[in-house]
Parts: sequence; C-alpha cells; structure tokens
Amino acid sequence: MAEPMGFFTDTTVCIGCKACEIACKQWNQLPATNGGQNTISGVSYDNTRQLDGIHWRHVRFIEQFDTRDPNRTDGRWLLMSDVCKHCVQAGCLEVCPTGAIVRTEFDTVVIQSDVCNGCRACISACPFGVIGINPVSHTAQKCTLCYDRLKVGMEPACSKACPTDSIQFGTISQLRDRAQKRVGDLHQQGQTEAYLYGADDKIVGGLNSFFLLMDKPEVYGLPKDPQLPSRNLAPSGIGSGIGAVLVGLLGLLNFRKRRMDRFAAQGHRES
Amino acid sequence: MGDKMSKKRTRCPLLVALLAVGLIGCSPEAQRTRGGGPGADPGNVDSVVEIHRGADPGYKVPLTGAGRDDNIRSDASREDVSR
Repeated sequence: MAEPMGFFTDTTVCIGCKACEIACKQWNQLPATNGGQNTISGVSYDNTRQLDGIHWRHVRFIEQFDTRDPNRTDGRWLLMSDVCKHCVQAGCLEVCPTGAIVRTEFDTVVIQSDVCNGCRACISACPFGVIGINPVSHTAQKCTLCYDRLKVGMEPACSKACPTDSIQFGTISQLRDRAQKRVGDLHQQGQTEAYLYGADDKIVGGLNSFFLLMDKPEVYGLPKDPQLPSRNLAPSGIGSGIGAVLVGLLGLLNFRKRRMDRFAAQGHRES
Repeated sequence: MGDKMSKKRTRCPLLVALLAVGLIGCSPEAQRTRGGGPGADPGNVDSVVEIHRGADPGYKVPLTGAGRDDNIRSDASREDVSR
C-alpha cells in the first residue's frame, strides 16, 4: 500500500469562493441540482446546503451574528470546505452488503458505482452525513479523493482549484506536520481556539481529510465523537438473545398451559 | 460413561457455532489503523483498483435529451479541465 494520502483543510483561510465545489463538479461531471433549476436556501448565502450524491464538496457558511446588535460589530463568518473524511475506520465500508465500497492503495475509501445496488445502508452508517444517492445513477455516491487523478500522479481537482490553499493535498504525515505548525502559528498570534479535528487517531481511527477549526465541531456540522455502526452489535446482540429466550419461555409456558388444560378436561370427563 | 461422552460431543460443535456467531459480530474495521491493511474491505478488486470509467456517476446510463452531444463524457474533456 502506498503512503496514506488526504486533505488538510485550513478553515481560517477559506474565503467561501466555492471554486472547489465547481472543480469537483466539473471533473467528476456531476449533474446540476434539480436539473439546473436550483432554489435559494433562504437562510444563508450558501445554496448548496449539504454533501450528497451530486455534491462531493460543500463549502459551509457559518454566519455567527448577534441579531440584537444592529451594527453587527461582533459578527464573524466561519467558512469550511467539507468533504468525505476517508475515515481510517470507515462506517460505510463496514456495512456495505455488496462490497461496492473499497479501500484503495492510497488509504482512501471509494464507492464503485457499478457494484452499488443503491440499498442506502452506507448513508445511515456514515457518521458525517457525507453519502447521498445520485439521481442519475441511482447509486450511493461521494468524494473519491479524485482516485482517477491520483492514479496518474495528479492532485485532486478541489485542492488544485483552491486559490488560498485552504485545501491542501499530500501524504498524511506531511499534512500533519504542516497542520501542527499552522496551529502553533495561530496560537502565537492569539487565536488560541484553533485546533485540529481528525488529525490524530481519536476520531474513528483518524480522518484522512482533517480540518483546522476555530470553534466546536458541532458549529461546523461535524460530530464531536463519531462512532462506527458496529458499536451497537454487542448490546443489540445481548438484547436479541434476551428477547429470544423470553419468547421461547412464553412459548413453553403456553404449551404447558394447553397440556394442563387438556389433562384437566380429561380428568373432568372421567370423573 | 457413554452418555457423558455423547453429551460432550454434542456440546463441542454447539460451542464452536456460538463462538463463530460471536466472532461474526466483531468488525475488522473497528481495530484498523492508518495505512493498516484492508479492514472490512472485501478485497474484490486487484491490488491496484480499477474503477470503471473513473468515478463517472453516469456509468452505463444512457444520456438523452437536448444537448446530448455536449454531455457525452469523454476522457478528452477531463484532460481539458485538468489544465
């Protein structure tokens, strides 16, 4: 296996231009929203709204303004280009019944469109809400970390298009060093709230797309402590076992009661 | 004596079956480390993955309607975008 590759997204330098979204759509030839007749979200300048089968990159606009202050002096924008995290322990891969989701030699997670049967198990298994059904192919789709480009030595379309280098592509070890240096710089500049999300192994074994954030993960729509679907196996297994024993006991009691009733009826007839 | 032996013989496969059922519940993905092997990947691909026509979501989907010619997915158009 080649060295694990991924993205480091520095949200502090994202300007919300959505060039990454466009580059992703263009390279992967993803269809337009609602056949090109997109609607305005009405709650934000962000009209993409979410990651799904036709949006493999999404620039989140987090608008933190106090509506009680007419001058909006304390307001701030948080911008983050969100993408599939290519988890080291991938929930989607764990539940896929057809083997359509594979792990590549770059340690990335890719859905093979022609093997997917559109069962949607991966959609509910992904703790980040990344996967969606593509209305063209009717299969589950998500970012492939431009696997076809990586294979020929090119960098992914989104990081190539990013004008501020908010999205950086490289080997995980390289990106981690760069990210830690950046966090150190920000702390020196007084931005002590800056931290890395997913760079270490604490979140589902590590994220191959990790982020530099300036607020709590929930503010960016990211889970604080994402879990694999298999965490439920032991308690559900025990619950099912107890349920099965209870149903069996009830059945036995029912049979016993029928037998006793039959004996009682026989005894009554004989007497 | 014979009864005890036959009881033991029936218990053994039962225990093995229970253990197998228990082990099915253990996900190989949950213990995986970075760059550390396939995890829960079923391994239904070669060592170098060949994804059919890249990540084309329209793979084998016939393109119809107006502007169809413009929509034909070609490797040449991908090259244009990359530059």
